[in-house]
Amino acid sequence: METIRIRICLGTACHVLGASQFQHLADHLPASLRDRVQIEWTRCLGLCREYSGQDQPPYVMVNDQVVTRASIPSVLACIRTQAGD
Amino acid sequence: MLASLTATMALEYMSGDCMIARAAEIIMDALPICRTRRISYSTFSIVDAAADGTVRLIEYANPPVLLIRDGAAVEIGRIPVGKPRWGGRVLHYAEIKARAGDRLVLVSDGITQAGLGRADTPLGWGYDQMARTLTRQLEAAPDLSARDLSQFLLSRAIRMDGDKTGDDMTCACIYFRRPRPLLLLTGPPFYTERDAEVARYLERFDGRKAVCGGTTSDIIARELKLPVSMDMGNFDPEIPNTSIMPGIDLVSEGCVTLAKVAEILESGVVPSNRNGATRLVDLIQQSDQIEFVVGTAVNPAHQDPCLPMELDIRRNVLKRILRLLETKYLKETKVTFI
Repeated sequence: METIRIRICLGTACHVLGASQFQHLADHLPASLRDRVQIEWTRCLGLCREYSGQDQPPYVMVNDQVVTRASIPSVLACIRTQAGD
Repeated sequence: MLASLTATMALEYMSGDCMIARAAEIIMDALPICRTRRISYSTFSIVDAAADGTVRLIEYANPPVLLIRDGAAVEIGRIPVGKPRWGGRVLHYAEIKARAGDRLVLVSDGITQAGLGRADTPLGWGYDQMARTLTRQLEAAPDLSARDLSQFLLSRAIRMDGDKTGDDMTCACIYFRRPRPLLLLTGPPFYTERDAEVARYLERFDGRKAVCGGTTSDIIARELKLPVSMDMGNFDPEIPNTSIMPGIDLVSEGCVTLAKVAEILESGVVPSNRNGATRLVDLIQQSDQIEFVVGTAVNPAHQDPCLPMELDIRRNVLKRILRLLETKYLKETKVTFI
Protein backbone atom coordinates (compact mmCIF):
# COMPACT_ATOMS: atom_id res chain seq x y z
CA MET A 1 0.00 0.00 0.00
CA GLU A 2 1.68 3.19 -1.13
CA THR A 3 1.61 6.36 0.96
CA ILE A 4 -0.49 9.20 -0.42
CA ARG A 5 1.37 12.49 0.00
CA ILE A 6 -0.75 15.59 0.61
CA ARG A 7 0.94 18.97 0.31
CA ILE A 8 -1.07 21.98 1.46
CA CYS A 9 0.03 25.41 0.29
CA LEU A 10 0.05 28.06 3.01
CA GLY A 11 1.24 30.86 0.71
CA THR A 12 -0.42 34.27 0.86
CA ALA A 13 -3.08 33.74 -1.83
CA CYS A 14 -3.96 30.25 -0.56
CA HIS A 15 -4.15 31.48 3.02
CA VAL A 16 -6.50 34.37 2.29
CA LEU A 17 -8.75 32.08 0.23
CA GLY A 18 -9.15 29.59 3.05
CA ALA A 19 -6.18 27.18 3.30
CA SER A 20 -6.45 27.21 7.10
CA GLN A 21 -9.54 24.94 6.82
CA PHE A 22 -7.13 22.07 6.12
CA GLN A 23 -5.86 22.06 9.68
CA HIS A 24 -8.88 19.78 10.23
CA LEU A 25 -8.25 17.59 7.17
CA ALA A 26 -6.86 14.68 9.18
CA ASP A 27 -10.08 14.51 11.22
CA HIS A 28 -12.09 13.99 8.00
CA LEU A 29 -10.02 11.13 6.60
CA PRO A 30 -11.85 7.80 6.44
CA ALA A 31 -10.40 5.27 8.88
CA SER A 32 -9.36 3.02 6.01
CA LEU A 33 -7.04 5.71 4.61
CA ARG A 34 -5.71 7.33 7.77
CA ASP A 35 -2.52 5.28 7.89
CA ARG A 36 -1.78 5.81 4.21
CA VAL A 37 -1.99 9.59 4.09
CA GLN A 38 0.92 11.87 4.90
CA ILE A 39 0.00 15.55 5.31
CA GLU A 40 2.62 18.28 4.78
CA TRP A 41 2.30 22.06 4.93
CA THR A 42 4.40 24.16 2.58
CA ARG A 43 5.23 27.87 2.60
CA CYS A 44 4.21 28.11 -1.06
CA LEU A 45 3.81 25.59 -3.84
CA GLY A 46 4.20 28.41 -6.39
CA LEU A 47 1.11 27.24 -8.28
CA CYS A 48 -0.63 30.63 -8.23
CA ARG A 49 1.89 31.82 -10.83
CA GLU A 50 0.93 29.00 -13.19
CA TYR A 51 -2.82 28.82 -12.79
CA SER A 52 -5.32 31.58 -13.52
CA GLY A 53 -8.99 32.21 -14.24
CA GLN A 54 -11.20 29.59 -12.63
CA ASP A 55 -8.26 27.57 -11.28
CA GLN A 56 -7.89 29.65 -8.16
CA PRO A 57 -6.24 29.07 -4.80
CA PRO A 58 -6.22 27.45 -2.35
CA TYR A 59 -4.08 24.72 -3.88
CA VAL A 60 -3.47 21.28 -2.48
CA MET A 61 -1.39 18.57 -4.11
CA VAL A 62 -2.41 14.95 -3.71
CA ASN A 63 0.66 13.08 -4.92
CA ASP A 64 1.22 14.78 -8.31
CA GLN A 65 -2.39 15.83 -8.77
CA VAL A 66 -3.16 19.54 -8.19
CA VAL A 67 -6.51 20.32 -6.57
CA THR A 68 -7.49 23.92 -7.35
CA ARG A 69 -10.09 25.86 -5.34
CA ALA A 70 -9.47 23.11 -2.86
CA SER A 71 -11.93 22.32 -0.10
CA ILE A 72 -11.98 19.41 2.33
CA PRO A 73 -14.58 17.49 0.21
CA SER A 74 -12.65 18.04 -3.05
CA VAL A 75 -9.35 16.98 -1.46
CA LEU A 76 -10.99 13.91 0.09
CA ALA A 77 -12.45 13.00 -3.33
CA CYS A 78 -8.98 13.27 -4.90
CA ILE A 79 -7.44 11.16 -2.12
CA ARG A 80 -10.06 8.47 -2.70
CA THR A 81 -9.33 8.47 -6.45
CA GLN A 82 -5.61 8.15 -5.83
CA ALA A 83 -6.22 5.37 -3.34
CA GLY A 84 -8.30 3.53 -5.94
CA ASP A 85 -11.36 3.51 -3.70
CA MET B 1 -4.77 68.35 31.83
CA LEU B 2 -1.91 70.29 33.44
CA ALA B 3 0.29 67.20 33.29
CA SER B 4 -0.38 66.97 29.53
CA LEU B 5 0.29 70.69 29.14
CA THR B 6 3.59 70.37 31.03
CA ALA B 7 4.69 67.32 29.07
CA THR B 8 3.74 68.92 25.74
CA MET B 9 5.64 72.10 26.59
CA ALA B 10 8.71 70.13 27.71
CA LEU B 11 8.71 67.99 24.57
CA GLU B 12 8.28 70.96 22.27
CA TYR B 13 11.09 72.92 23.94
CA MET B 14 13.42 69.93 23.88
CA SER B 15 12.71 69.11 20.24
CA GLY B 16 13.27 72.80 19.44
CA ASP B 17 16.75 72.55 21.05
CA CYS B 18 15.81 74.91 23.86
CA MET B 19 18.17 74.66 26.84
CA ILE B 20 16.68 72.40 29.49
CA ALA B 21 17.03 74.97 32.29
CA ARG B 22 15.31 77.66 30.24
CA ALA B 23 12.50 75.26 29.30
CA ALA B 24 11.95 74.33 32.95
CA GLU B 25 11.86 78.01 33.99
CA ILE B 26 9.20 78.81 31.41
CA ILE B 27 7.15 75.85 32.60
CA MET B 28 7.52 76.94 36.24
CA ASP B 29 6.34 80.43 35.33
CA ALA B 30 3.34 79.02 33.51
CA LEU B 31 2.17 76.50 36.09
CA PRO B 32 -0.61 77.56 38.47
CA ILE B 33 -0.16 77.05 42.23
CA CYS B 34 -2.51 75.03 44.40
CA ARG B 35 -3.99 77.45 46.96
CA THR B 36 -4.19 75.00 49.82
CA ARG B 37 -0.98 73.02 49.38
CA ARG B 38 1.10 75.89 47.94
CA ILE B 39 2.64 73.60 45.33
CA SER B 40 2.33 73.99 41.62
CA TYR B 41 0.63 71.72 39.16
CA SER B 42 2.10 69.72 37.81
CA THR B 43 5.31 68.08 38.98
CA PHE B 44 7.75 67.13 36.25
CA SER B 45 11.08 65.52 35.39
CA ILE B 46 12.81 66.31 32.10
CA VAL B 47 15.74 64.29 30.77
CA ASP B 48 17.72 65.51 27.79
CA ALA B 49 20.19 62.85 26.66
CA ALA B 50 22.69 63.51 23.88
CA ALA B 51 24.31 60.86 21.73
CA ASP B 52 27.73 61.48 23.37
CA GLY B 53 26.33 60.38 26.74
CA THR B 54 25.84 63.85 28.20
CA VAL B 55 22.58 63.80 30.12
CA ARG B 56 20.96 66.87 31.59
CA LEU B 57 18.03 66.48 33.88
CA ILE B 58 15.81 68.89 35.66
CA GLU B 59 13.20 67.95 38.17
CA TYR B 60 10.42 69.56 40.09
CA ALA B 61 8.67 67.85 43.01
CA ASN B 62 8.82 64.32 41.61
CA PRO B 63 10.71 61.47 43.28
CA PRO B 64 14.37 61.96 42.22
CA VAL B 65 15.39 60.35 38.95
CA LEU B 66 17.14 57.08 39.84
CA LEU B 67 20.48 56.24 38.25
CA ILE B 68 21.39 52.54 38.29
CA ARG B 69 25.04 51.91 37.41
CA ASP B 70 26.91 48.61 37.69
CA GLY B 71 23.96 47.07 39.49
CA ALA B 72 23.59 49.70 42.20
CA ALA B 73 21.71 52.95 42.77
CA VAL B 74 24.14 55.87 42.37
CA GLU B 75 23.72 59.29 43.91
CA ILE B 76 23.30 62.10 41.38
CA GLY B 77 24.69 65.50 42.38
CA ARG B 78 21.89 68.03 42.03
CA ILE B 79 21.96 71.81 42.03
CA PRO B 80 18.87 73.58 43.43
CA VAL B 81 17.55 76.38 41.23
CA GLY B 82 15.08 78.95 42.57
CA LYS B 83 13.68 82.31 41.56
CA PRO B 84 12.16 84.93 43.85
CA ARG B 85 8.97 84.89 41.77
CA TRP B 86 8.53 81.13 42.35
CA GLY B 87 7.79 81.69 46.02
CA GLY B 88 10.13 79.08 47.45
CA ARG B 89 9.49 76.45 44.83
CA VAL B 90 12.78 74.85 43.81
CA LEU B 91 13.93 73.02 40.68
CA HIS B 92 16.79 70.54 40.79
CA TYR B 93 19.26 70.48 37.95
CA ALA B 94 21.86 67.79 37.28
CA GLU B 95 24.25 66.81 34.56
CA ILE B 96 25.79 63.35 34.26
CA LYS B 97 27.92 61.49 31.77
CA ALA B 98 26.10 58.27 31.03
CA ARG B 99 28.02 55.03 30.60
CA ALA B 100 27.04 51.98 28.62
CA GLY B 101 24.75 49.86 30.76
CA ASP B 102 23.39 52.79 32.82
CA ARG B 103 19.69 53.05 33.45
CA LEU B 104 17.69 56.10 34.44
CA VAL B 105 14.31 55.47 36.03
CA LEU B 106 11.72 58.24 36.27
CA VAL B 107 8.65 57.72 38.41
CA SER B 108 5.71 59.67 39.74
CA ASP B 109 4.93 59.55 43.47
CA GLY B 110 2.08 57.14 42.77
CA ILE B 111 4.79 54.52 42.38
CA THR B 112 6.96 55.37 45.41
CA GLN B 113 3.84 55.61 47.59
CA ALA B 114 2.41 52.30 46.42
CA GLY B 115 1.22 50.25 49.38
CA LEU B 116 0.22 53.40 51.33
CA GLY B 117 -1.95 52.52 54.31
CA ARG B 118 -1.01 48.86 54.42
CA ALA B 119 0.03 47.51 57.83
CA ASP B 120 3.56 46.63 56.65
CA THR B 121 4.02 49.78 54.54
CA PRO B 122 1.95 52.54 56.20
CA LEU B 123 3.72 55.27 54.19
CA GLY B 124 4.09 53.25 51.02
CA TRP B 125 7.01 51.04 50.06
CA GLY B 126 9.18 54.14 49.54
CA TYR B 127 11.90 55.22 47.18
CA ASP B 128 14.69 53.08 48.66
CA GLN B 129 12.65 49.89 48.63
CA MET B 130 11.63 50.63 45.02
CA ALA B 131 15.29 51.13 44.07
CA ARG B 132 16.27 47.84 45.77
CA THR B 133 13.50 46.02 43.89
CA LEU B 134 14.85 47.38 40.60
CA THR B 135 18.50 46.54 41.29
CA ARG B 136 17.54 43.01 42.37
CA GLN B 137 15.54 42.55 39.17
CA LEU B 138 18.50 43.77 37.09
CA GLU B 139 20.81 41.42 38.94
CA ALA B 140 18.56 38.56 37.85
CA ALA B 141 18.15 39.89 34.30
CA PRO B 142 21.08 42.22 33.44
CA ASP B 143 19.97 42.79 29.82
CA LEU B 144 16.36 43.63 30.65
CA SER B 145 15.03 46.18 28.17
CA ALA B 146 13.82 49.61 29.29
CA ARG B 147 10.29 48.65 28.27
CA ASP B 148 10.33 45.43 30.31
CA LEU B 149 11.87 47.18 33.33
CA SER B 150 9.13 49.85 33.27
CA GLN B 151 6.46 47.18 32.99
CA PHE B 152 8.04 45.21 35.81
CA LEU B 153 8.12 48.24 38.13
CA LEU B 154 4.59 49.25 37.27
CA SER B 155 3.18 45.78 37.89
CA ARG B 156 5.08 45.56 41.20
CA ALA B 157 3.69 48.92 42.30
CA ILE B 158 0.16 47.93 41.32
CA ARG B 159 0.56 44.70 43.29
CA MET B 160 1.79 46.71 46.33
CA ASP B 161 -1.44 48.69 46.06
CA GLY B 162 -3.51 45.50 46.21
CA ASP B 163 -4.11 45.42 42.43
CA LYS B 164 -5.96 48.74 42.43
CA THR B 165 -3.91 51.89 42.18
CA GLY B 166 -4.49 54.52 44.87
CA ASP B 167 -2.84 57.26 42.79
CA ASP B 168 -1.88 57.67 39.15
CA MET B 169 1.35 55.85 38.34
CA THR B 170 3.88 56.87 35.69
CA CYS B 171 7.17 55.17 35.03
CA ALA B 172 9.77 55.66 32.30
CA CYS B 173 13.14 53.96 31.94
CA ILE B 174 16.09 54.97 29.81
CA TYR B 175 18.69 52.30 29.09
CA PHE B 176 22.05 53.45 27.68
CA ARG B 177 23.29 50.75 25.33
CA ARG B 178 24.48 50.20 21.79
CA PRO B 179 21.65 50.39 19.20
CA ARG B 180 20.23 47.03 18.16
CA PRO B 181 19.95 46.62 14.40
CA LEU B 182 17.31 44.50 12.66
CA LEU B 183 17.28 43.54 8.99
CA LEU B 184 13.87 42.80 7.54
CA LEU B 185 13.98 41.20 4.14
CA THR B 186 10.73 40.88 2.22
CA GLY B 187 9.83 40.13 -1.37
CA PRO B 188 11.83 38.50 -4.16
CA PRO B 189 14.20 40.85 -6.04
CA PHE B 190 12.78 42.26 -9.28
CA TYR B 191 15.65 40.67 -11.23
CA THR B 192 16.29 37.08 -10.18
CA GLU B 193 19.99 37.67 -10.96
CA ARG B 194 20.12 39.63 -7.70
CA ASP B 195 18.86 36.77 -5.50
CA ALA B 196 22.40 35.77 -4.49
CA GLU B 197 23.39 39.36 -3.64
CA VAL B 198 20.40 39.76 -1.30
CA ALA B 199 21.10 36.41 0.35
CA ARG B 200 24.76 37.31 0.98
CA TYR B 201 23.74 40.67 2.43
CA LEU B 202 21.44 38.89 4.85
CA GLU B 203 24.12 36.35 5.73
CA ARG B 204 26.68 39.05 6.57
CA PHE B 205 24.33 41.39 8.42
CA ASP B 206 25.42 41.98 12.02
CA GLY B 207 22.16 42.02 13.97
CA ARG B 208 18.77 40.38 14.17
CA LYS B 209 17.28 39.04 10.96
CA ALA B 210 13.72 38.54 9.72
CA VAL B 211 12.62 37.15 6.37
CA CYS B 212 8.98 37.77 5.44
CA GLY B 213 7.54 35.92 2.46
CA GLY B 214 7.25 32.30 1.34
CA THR B 215 9.05 32.75 -1.96
CA THR B 216 11.60 35.09 -0.34
CA SER B 217 12.50 32.53 2.31
CA ASP B 218 12.77 29.80 -0.34
CA ILE B 219 15.21 32.04 -2.26
CA ILE B 220 17.33 32.57 0.87
CA ALA B 221 17.28 28.87 1.74
CA ARG B 222 18.33 27.98 -1.82
CA GLU B 223 21.10 30.60 -2.07
CA LEU B 224 22.57 30.01 1.39
CA LYS B 225 21.93 26.25 1.25
CA LEU B 226 20.03 26.41 4.53
CA PRO B 227 17.31 23.99 5.58
CA VAL B 228 13.91 25.58 6.08
CA SER B 229 10.90 23.90 7.61
CA MET B 230 7.43 25.07 8.62
CA ASP B 231 6.73 25.38 12.31
CA MET B 232 3.26 23.89 12.70
CA GLY B 233 3.33 24.16 16.51
CA ASN B 234 0.61 26.77 16.89
CA PHE B 235 -1.94 27.01 14.14
CA ASP B 236 -3.41 30.49 13.86
CA PRO B 237 -6.28 30.78 11.35
CA GLU B 238 -5.60 34.52 10.92
CA ILE B 239 -1.84 34.58 10.30
CA PRO B 240 0.04 31.89 8.32
CA ASN B 241 2.51 29.82 10.31
CA THR B 242 6.15 30.77 10.58
CA SER B 243 9.08 28.65 9.45
CA ILE B 244 12.42 27.81 10.97
CA MET B 245 15.76 28.57 9.29
CA PRO B 246 19.10 28.41 11.14
CA GLY B 247 20.56 31.84 11.88
CA ILE B 248 17.35 33.73 11.06
CA ASP B 249 15.36 35.06 14.01
CA LEU B 250 12.01 34.98 12.22
CA VAL B 251 10.82 33.48 8.92
CA SER B 252 7.22 34.39 8.18
CA GLU B 253 4.71 34.74 5.37
CA GLY B 254 4.77 38.15 3.64
CA CYS B 255 1.75 40.33 2.87
CA VAL B 256 -0.85 39.06 5.39
CA THR B 257 1.71 39.11 8.22
CA LEU B 258 3.01 42.59 7.34
CA ALA B 259 -0.54 43.99 7.05
CA LYS B 260 -1.23 42.67 10.57
CA VAL B 261 2.04 44.19 11.82
CA ALA B 262 0.93 47.58 10.46
CA GLU B 263 -2.44 47.17 12.20
CA ILE B 264 -0.82 46.26 15.54
CA LEU B 265 1.65 49.16 15.33
CA GLU B 266 -1.20 51.54 14.52
CA SER B 267 -3.32 50.39 17.48
CA GLY B 268 -0.36 50.07 19.85
CA VAL B 269 -1.92 46.94 21.35
CA VAL B 270 -0.02 43.69 20.81
CA PRO B 271 -2.33 40.64 20.96
CA SER B 272 -1.15 37.99 23.40
CA ASN B 273 -1.14 35.10 20.89
CA ARG B 274 2.21 34.15 19.32
CA ASN B 275 2.16 34.24 15.53
CA GLY B 276 4.32 35.65 12.75
CA ALA B 277 2.89 39.15 13.17
CA THR B 278 3.17 39.43 16.96
CA ARG B 279 6.68 37.96 16.86
CA LEU B 280 7.73 40.48 14.21
CA VAL B 281 6.28 43.34 16.28
CA ASP B 282 8.33 42.05 19.24
CA LEU B 283 11.49 41.99 17.15
CA ILE B 284 10.82 45.52 15.90
CA GLN B 285 10.14 46.84 19.39
CA GLN B 286 13.36 45.30 20.69
CA SER B 287 15.38 46.92 17.89
CA ASP B 288 16.45 50.53 17.28
CA GLN B 289 17.75 50.60 13.71
CA ILE B 290 15.53 48.76 11.30
CA GLU B 291 16.72 48.20 7.79
CA PHE B 292 14.23 47.03 5.18
CA VAL B 293 15.40 45.33 2.02
CA VAL B 294 12.36 45.08 -0.19
CA GLY B 295 12.21 42.97 -3.32
CA THR B 296 9.80 44.52 -5.77
CA ALA B 297 8.87 41.48 -7.84
CA VAL B 298 5.06 41.25 -7.78
CA ASN B 299 3.24 37.96 -7.66
CA PRO B 300 0.53 38.46 -10.34
CA ALA B 301 -1.75 36.07 -8.45
CA HIS B 302 -1.94 38.62 -5.61
CA GLN B 303 -3.50 41.12 -8.00
CA ASP B 304 -6.46 38.81 -8.66
CA PRO B 305 -9.62 40.91 -8.05
CA CYS B 306 -11.15 37.93 -6.26
CA LEU B 307 -8.68 38.31 -3.40
CA PRO B 308 -9.71 40.37 -0.36
CA MET B 309 -9.00 44.10 -0.39
CA GLU B 310 -6.86 43.75 2.75
CA LEU B 311 -4.23 42.04 0.63
CA ASP B 312 -2.55 45.30 -0.19
CA ILE B 313 0.59 45.48 -2.28
CA ARG B 314 3.77 45.08 -0.25
CA ARG B 315 5.11 48.57 -0.86
CA ASN B 316 1.91 50.22 0.44
CA VAL B 317 1.96 48.18 3.65
CA LEU B 318 5.64 48.94 4.17
CA LYS B 319 5.00 52.64 3.68
CA ARG B 320 2.50 52.50 6.56
CA ILE B 321 4.92 50.54 8.76
CA LEU B 322 7.82 52.90 8.05
CA ARG B 323 5.76 55.98 8.84
CA LEU B 324 4.63 54.45 12.14
CA LEU B 325 8.14 53.34 13.12
CA GLU B 326 9.57 56.79 12.55
CA THR B 327 6.79 58.95 13.98
CA LYS B 328 5.20 56.82 16.71
CA TYR B 329 7.97 54.43 17.73
CA LEU B 330 10.96 56.74 17.09
CA LYS B 331 13.01 54.07 15.30
CA GLU B 332 15.75 54.75 12.79
CA THR B 333 14.77 53.19 9.48
CA LYS B 334 16.41 52.57 6.15
CA VAL B 335 14.80 51.13 3.03
CA THR B 336 16.38 49.67 -0.08
CA PHE B 337 14.24 48.49 -2.97
CA ILE B 338 15.77 45.79 -5.06
